[in-house]
Amino acid sequence: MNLLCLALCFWGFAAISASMERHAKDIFAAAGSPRTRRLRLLAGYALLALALPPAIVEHGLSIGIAAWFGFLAIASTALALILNWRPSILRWALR
Amino acid sequence: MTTFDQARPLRQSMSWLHTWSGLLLGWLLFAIFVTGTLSYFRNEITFWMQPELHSAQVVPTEQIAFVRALALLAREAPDAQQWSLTLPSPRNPTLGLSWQQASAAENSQTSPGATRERGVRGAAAADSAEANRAPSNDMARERPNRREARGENGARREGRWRERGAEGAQSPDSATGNRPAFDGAARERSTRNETRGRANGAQSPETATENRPASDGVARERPSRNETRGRANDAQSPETGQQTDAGQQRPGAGARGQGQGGGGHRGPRLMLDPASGGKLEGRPTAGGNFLYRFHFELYGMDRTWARWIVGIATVLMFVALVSGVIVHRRIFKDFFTFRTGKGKRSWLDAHNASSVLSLPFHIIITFSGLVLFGNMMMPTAFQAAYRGDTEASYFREMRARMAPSDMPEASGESAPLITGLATLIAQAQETWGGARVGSITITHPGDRNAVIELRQMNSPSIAKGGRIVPALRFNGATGEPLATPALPEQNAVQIVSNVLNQLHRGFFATPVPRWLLFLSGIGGSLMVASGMVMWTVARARKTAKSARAPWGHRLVEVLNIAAIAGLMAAIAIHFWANRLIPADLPTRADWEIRAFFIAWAVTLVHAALRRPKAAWVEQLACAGALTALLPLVNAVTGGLSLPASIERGLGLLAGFDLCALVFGIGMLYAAYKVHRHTPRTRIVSSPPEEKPGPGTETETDAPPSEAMEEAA
Repeated sequence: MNLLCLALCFWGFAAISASMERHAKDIFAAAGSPRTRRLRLLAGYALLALALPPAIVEHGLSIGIAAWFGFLAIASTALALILNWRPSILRWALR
Repeated sequence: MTTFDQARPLRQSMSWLHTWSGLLLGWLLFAIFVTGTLSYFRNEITFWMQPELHSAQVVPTEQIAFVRALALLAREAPDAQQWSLTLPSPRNPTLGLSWQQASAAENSQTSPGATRERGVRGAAAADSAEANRAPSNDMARERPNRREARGENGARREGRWRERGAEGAQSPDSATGNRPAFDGAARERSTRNETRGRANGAQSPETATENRPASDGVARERPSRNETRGRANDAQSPETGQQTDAGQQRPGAGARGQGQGGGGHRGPRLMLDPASGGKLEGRPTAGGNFLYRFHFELYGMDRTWARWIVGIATVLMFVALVSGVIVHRRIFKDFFTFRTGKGKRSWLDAHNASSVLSLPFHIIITFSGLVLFGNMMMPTAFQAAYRGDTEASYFREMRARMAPSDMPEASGESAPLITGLATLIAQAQETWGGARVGSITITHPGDRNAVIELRQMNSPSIAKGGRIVPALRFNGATGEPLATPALPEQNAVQIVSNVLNQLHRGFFATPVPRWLLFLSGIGGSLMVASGMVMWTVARARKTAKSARAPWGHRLVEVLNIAAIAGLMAAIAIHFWANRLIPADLPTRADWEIRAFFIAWAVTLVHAALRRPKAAWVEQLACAGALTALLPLVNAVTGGLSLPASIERGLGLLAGFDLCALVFGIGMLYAAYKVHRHTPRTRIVSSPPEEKPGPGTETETDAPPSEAMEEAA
């Protein structure tokens, strides 16, 4: 459950980053249409929200929410590093 | 653009505020962040620092040597009112035993501790009567006494340590509270408070400790503190090893103490190998508690002053956080942006990323830190609200404790205690859906009305206080289940206080949340460090043009080096000292701490003498090498080696060694990057370039992320 939460956080942030023009270019070489990017943004937020239930199942309500914030921090940091390092490896996850 | 024009004055002024509030006590903040972050693992650190305990076996509950442990308790403390067992946990694999004598009233004839305590109370009362009496010698003497009394009979030193630990686990709130706030007149109240705290058993050792007449007593405080320190070393350390556990869970402490309507005295604490039941004796050391206490009380100075200093630093941190968010105009656009190899731009990115990505943590940790200091820094509100009563009730109400519960009286008829604790544990864990049992207390052992109480290891909710955990009770003679003790009702204020308190201190944290807190703490350390380095980077070009750096820039540079790289080296030296100072040297625990400060002072001198770049490289390399070698030092000085600890399932040891390895390599890598760095700008003069390029952001303690980003 912890890993699932972390993975969803990461995936969600990756989708959100792919909705931003600069990062989308890094990942896909082309930014994509505004509509596609808007979809990615929504999908990204949905994934972040989806990451919350696993954390709550694992840790209970209050601790789960705290853990979710922790996973968000870790996932976004990892993503920022990957975006700087090899953005293209994110491609498979985002189609 | 016009909107930008309007916003600019605010941004500019906030930018100024951000820069200077961050810089002013930034060095201290970095040290607070780093030591505070390490404190999330202080039990683990303490365990690492006592290699004598590394032989503890990790065994499943059924194989824990409860029979031998109970036999040992029966031998050592046949008359105790209560026995406590702290079960092996991921944070400490030993089986801890402690006991509590019957309450002072009952025992005053027989127990020296009780007598002493009474004497002390009497003296305290007398003291409050003559509120003007100058702190005199006998007062100075009295404190230690009291500690002893509390610490219990023979085990004075342990008592002392335990108390500190407990209070540490607790204290910013109460501890600080009164001292500045109430002077002479308040003493009387505090005295009462102490008595009451004890009487209601509400775990108040700490409250009492803190509220006690000490209010007036810088003078008094000092001697006794020194003494505490001085003895830190003889602190027979089974205690220290466990004390935080105790602080967290304190099975028998006060929470249960109410059984007889009066707190008793805690006994010494023994640590056993859970498999064999054999005693383990760790070397005297302050362990992880030194770092823990340093992060809010510094060291070697009056506690109240230290807390004020840390409190002010915390306020500045909060100011820097809020103004930083306002200043950061592309907070969403640059959310994931981190670009290496771009000089100042990269530093800014690193600073932004480490701040923004764990911003919730930074805000919570800073704000809750302030709240923990709240009644010290802003005492008027609760003083006014609780005037009629006393502060005692304030602390009693804010302190989340188990409510006094109805423990049956001893019947006076003896009956053998059941020994099948493992069965009860299994039963409890099943009831709790798998949550682990942290401790077991046995009240009236050997009596027909003996009560065995099992308490959960971690608090199941952040909204409850750290010590409020579900418990199950069984009759000790028959094994029959008894009524489950109720968890206390809490009002909204208490819940808010609990949440902030718990989020800061992580009482609830099972391993995964604990690691999350730790990693976020590293992010915070990186944030502070990168911000401070940026101060010099941003001014580098200007500095480079002039022949000599302005003294202010030079000062900041030197302090940066010593505060960042130097601190990491000093911490590594502290751990080395733990292993190199002979285990039987009487003052060894003090020397470990002195080694830390000596090393830190040396790095400051070194930074002042060397050119900045050379100083960065040398100190980072030194800190990196010292840290990376810790697993080796551990293995050759009697500790369990890394492969062995992995094989034996001692995750806490393996975790320490692996972290040391990763951080050490990270710092070495940072040193390498600084060494290789040549400024991108045309200026090639050496003095200002010390702020290494992008790679060096790593010089803080957070190598893992750094290592990754360097790879880019």
